[in-house]
Amino acid sequence: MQRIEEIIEMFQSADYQETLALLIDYSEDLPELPERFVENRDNGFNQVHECETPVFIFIEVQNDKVDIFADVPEESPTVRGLVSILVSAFDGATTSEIEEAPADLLMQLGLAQKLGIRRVRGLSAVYAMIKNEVKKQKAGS
Amino acid sequence: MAEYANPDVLVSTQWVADHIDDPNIVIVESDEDVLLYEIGHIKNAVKVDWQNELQDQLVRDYVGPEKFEKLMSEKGISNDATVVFYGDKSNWWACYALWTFKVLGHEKCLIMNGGRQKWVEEERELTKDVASREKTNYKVSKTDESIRAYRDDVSKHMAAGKPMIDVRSPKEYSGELLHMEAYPQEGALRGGHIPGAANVPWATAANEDGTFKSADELSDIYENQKGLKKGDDVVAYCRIGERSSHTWFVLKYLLGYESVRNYDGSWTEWGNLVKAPIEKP
Amino acid sequence: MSEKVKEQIDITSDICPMTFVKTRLKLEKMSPGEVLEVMLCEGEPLSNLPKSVTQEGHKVLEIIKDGSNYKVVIERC
Repeated sequence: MQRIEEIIEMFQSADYQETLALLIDYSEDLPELPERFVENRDNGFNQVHECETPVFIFIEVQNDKVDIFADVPEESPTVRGLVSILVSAFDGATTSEIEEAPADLLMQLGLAQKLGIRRVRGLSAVYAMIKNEVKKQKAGS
Repeated sequence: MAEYANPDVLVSTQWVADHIDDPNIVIVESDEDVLLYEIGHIKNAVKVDWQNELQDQLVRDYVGPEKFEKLMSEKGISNDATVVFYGDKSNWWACYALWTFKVLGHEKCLIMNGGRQKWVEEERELTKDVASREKTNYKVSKTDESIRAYRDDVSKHMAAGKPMIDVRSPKEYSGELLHMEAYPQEGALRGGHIPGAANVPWATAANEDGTFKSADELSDIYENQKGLKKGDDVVAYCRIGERSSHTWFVLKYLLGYESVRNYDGSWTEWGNLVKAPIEKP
Repeated sequence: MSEKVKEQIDITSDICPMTFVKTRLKLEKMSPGEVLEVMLCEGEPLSNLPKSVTQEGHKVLEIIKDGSNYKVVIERC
């Protein structure tokens, strides 16, 4: 797990080529979806429908600790890289860390300016889904 | 079976494979996903990014002749080079880049039929090596505004009752959605379509494998079903002008309509324009 | 510093994966056979960077301790 402040600082300091290279790195490092979620994914559960690319997010909250699992096709490296940033920042975090994470996180990362807004917009839906799901599961536990 | 009006503007994946090392051919990849080129592209292909390289970063417009000259020179594309475009999503962005190149006056532009998807499905070779081409001294001698429509042209076109193709999804056309599904921030204040426009979603012209439909199928879609006739003066639009460049390519080159313009202001201009007439079922 | 060293970068103030990204982009701009010297911190960068660079097909020539930092000398392959 990486601290979100560090990730923000890193992306803010990155030039265009470094940004692309960082995203490729994150994209390659997204862990494979554990076997136990595959059936749900194949049945279309947990898809982030706002994304044009098929993005699946699974969230488990146990003892106030959040585990995040994601699945994004390798043919969509940009989306995969963006989702992987969120996983790297929030997988293993506490529920309150996720609740308190900045609402304008995506703006702070500065990716819309570098890549163009239409390439990063799906990410806000993924981010919102993570926040909502954590809130829901916390309330239900 | 009818042939395309200009069959020479399309080349096959095999043709590209055979011309990879041809010095007069420049293969250009243009994608929606900004990283696809980096994770692997056709050998010797250069990347052109519509967002960072073809659009002006301040004004809502494309780069002007000067910036285009610089871009082309740096990419190593000469004035007489034949440029072959390919990209993701059924060549959606490849057509957009081609249209922009045409507006800026580049003459020889072709499309690799099927785009990136077909190349990958055929398990053809991809490389991560960035092509280095010798710099050129590119000069724009004339631009071609005849393939671009501005809002005043569209108003006149509408008033004259000439045909228009709205290539957005049926829900955007009907006004039910103010933006493309999944693209919430590229919306407009009003929903609906330009009065008189017929709805043919852009992807109707593409097969599952990313190639274009046959001439007969295209003629059936645009002519039999939507009433276009050879010789018609046509305007195509979508939301920001990129999906409609795919349809523009189909009408202009595959069906051979001489006068087809892409309205790049599209719905994000028209649907925000004060007093612009709108049709909504 | 060895005479063979062609380029140097300092990534002591960077974190992963920027450390690797900067090194990789630098190596891409160099020609095969040229040598890059990377100044980095111990911990994650020191344990990961030589591995990642080797995976990319380059050769780690030596790792030298330099005060509280380390110099990793890489031949671009």
